[in-house]
Amino acid sequence: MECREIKKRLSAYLEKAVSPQQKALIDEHLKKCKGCRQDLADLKKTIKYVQRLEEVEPPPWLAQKVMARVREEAEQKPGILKKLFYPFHIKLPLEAIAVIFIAVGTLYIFKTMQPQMQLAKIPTETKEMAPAPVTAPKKEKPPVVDQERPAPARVGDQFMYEKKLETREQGSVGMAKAPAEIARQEEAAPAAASAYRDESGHRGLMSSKALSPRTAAVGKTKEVHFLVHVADLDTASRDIAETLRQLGGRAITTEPLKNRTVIDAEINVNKLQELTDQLHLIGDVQEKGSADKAAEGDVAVTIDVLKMQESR
Amino acid sequence: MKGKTKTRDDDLEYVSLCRQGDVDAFEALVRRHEKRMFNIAYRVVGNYDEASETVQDAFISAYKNIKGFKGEAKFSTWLYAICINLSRNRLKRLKSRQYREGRSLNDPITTPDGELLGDPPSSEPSVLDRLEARDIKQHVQGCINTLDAEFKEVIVLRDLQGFSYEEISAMLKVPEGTVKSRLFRGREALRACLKGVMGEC
Repeated sequence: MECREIKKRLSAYLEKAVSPQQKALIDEHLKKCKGCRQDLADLKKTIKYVQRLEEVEPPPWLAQKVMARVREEAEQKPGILKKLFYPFHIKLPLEAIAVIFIAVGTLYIFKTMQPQMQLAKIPTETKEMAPAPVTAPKKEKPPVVDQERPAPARVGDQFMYEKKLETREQGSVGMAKAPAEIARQEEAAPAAASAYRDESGHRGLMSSKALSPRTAAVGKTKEVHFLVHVADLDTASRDIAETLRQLGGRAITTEPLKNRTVIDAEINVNKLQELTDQLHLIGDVQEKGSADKAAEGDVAVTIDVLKMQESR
Repeated sequence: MKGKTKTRDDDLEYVSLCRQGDVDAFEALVRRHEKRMFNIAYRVVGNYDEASETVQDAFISAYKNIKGFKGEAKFSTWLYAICINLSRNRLKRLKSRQYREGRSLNDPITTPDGELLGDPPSSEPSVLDRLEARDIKQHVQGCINTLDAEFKEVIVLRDLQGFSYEEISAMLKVPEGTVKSRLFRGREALRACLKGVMGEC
């Protein structure tokens, strides 16, 4: 083996990192070659010098500083994790609470608004319905009125009818007022007023005549009271209100109470039977006080809609 | 060897604790390895302050990537590999900075060994001997500093730290044969350097 080859392996030879055969060859060569022996000695010395380099003490604050940074890192880490995963721990319940709150709030607002909305609807609907009931009394009354009064008077007649509605609400006191008010309406209806002023006295009589059957009827049956036991309060209430409207009921008021809805309306006495029939379809009906079938005009109807479970 | 096995087991225990977020377990690992880490970094980088920065970075990097430690090698091997890598990078940066800033030929290549300055006088036989010893050490470190990074690394890891070829191979991610040849060439270069500066060797 040449010196160059030997020198290459001296480093490994020193560390006993050569095969036994190589080691034997090198040993043999070293015995003969002074130069290689010198090289080996130099190499040993070099390694020794390097190994003699002492261990250096790290700065005493090193571990502390490292740990300070690590702790900073550790605190940041959960921060990022929190941002990523907290929605599943904290935000979700918050969101859920918000959703429930909104849902309950909406439901509550809707529930409280509903009767108002119905009330708000009713006047417009009754106005639309108004012509229908108006024609009914007109057909009945004209035989008395029309004979004496030509066509223009109908305007006054309508006014009178509307006034009657008002006065009836005021009861017997309103009745006393009625003639005076009719007189005033004549002024409001110029055509009628100028042409038939002389008839005013008679008309006053006529008006009281026209009112008298109704007054009598009201006197007998101020109101008809129904007790309706139903399963579904809301639906039944709506159905009853609708039925009342269809039957020409006026001034329908729905008062929702707990487990109970009170519906007030005015309905032509002729429609009362039909109403009773309809109510039987909706629920169990108990009738308190019956209208005078012979009577004419309107009758006040109070329908107490009761929830069936509560009533039992 | 027994001691090494024990260390390894202890490391793994702390590593698994650390993975569960136990910062104190990591502190135990830091305290256990800081000296060796620092010495590797110091000998490779050749500057005390730069070495301490490097070691800090290495520990932080290890902490951040501890989940990436698969346990294929020893934890210490994995840790020192990070240290070697960061030391190499820092050295590269320092050299390019020195190159940019310009460097006088008169500037000392070596970094004074602070430890020797602090030695009590009584620990050395004579002033001359002490000076000589200090001189030699400075020269040795100076010569190590002149070596190319790849030779420097194997010399530091093998001759200074005494790691096995296998461990060095794992740390540097090069075959053992490469470690051997690098070591031979590194030692040759070092010998030549020392001969030049000390007139002997």
